[in-house]
Amino acid sequence: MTARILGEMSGALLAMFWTWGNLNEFSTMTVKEVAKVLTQGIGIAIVASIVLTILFNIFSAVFSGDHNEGIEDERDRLYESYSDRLFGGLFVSAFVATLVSLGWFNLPINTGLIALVYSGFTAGIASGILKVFLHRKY
Amino acid sequence: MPKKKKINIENSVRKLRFNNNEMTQQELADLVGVSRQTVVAIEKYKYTPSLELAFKISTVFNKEIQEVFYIGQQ
Repeated sequence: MTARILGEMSGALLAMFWTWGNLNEFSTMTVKEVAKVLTQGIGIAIVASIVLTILFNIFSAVFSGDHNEGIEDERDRLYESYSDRLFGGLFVSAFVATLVSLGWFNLPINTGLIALVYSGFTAGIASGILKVFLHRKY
Repeated sequence: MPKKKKINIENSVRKLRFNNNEMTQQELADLVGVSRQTVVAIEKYKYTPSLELAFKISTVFNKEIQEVFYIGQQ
């Protein structure tokens, strides 16, 4: 369980760094170019989280001898629902904030797109942290 | 509006495990289909199991559910 959460969080973090590195001059880039980089970033996040989850599972099995990572019970599902709620709340808040910024404060469309995708990554990481916190505390 | 009163649900899982040939947490977890961490959380009263899981646990020990799970001191 922890390996999967860490894999997802690291994947999102990796994608954030990758997109940030490719969006250095986003103010001069066209919307099409920015959208292309962001889409690639989302793809990287998905692939990286799958690969890293597998790697973390292997490390966890080798170093801690814990082979029960696959068991997901009602407690995991309960914590999953809390973290999903946090993810949804953060993402919807960021979505509305971006729309308000675009509509009222003349935010460039490129910045709006980046803010949306980054809020998704950030919400994913925050929900992962909450899951780890709940698993450690209770 | 009446004030919501929180009840503490406690259990005797740890005691029952020891009285049952010193069953390990992992063995109980395998029997009821949860992780060992969930059994640990239940024994420390940090997690209240669902009714289904509570029935499964009491069935393992051949006890009535109220003998295993009960309302603790307020």
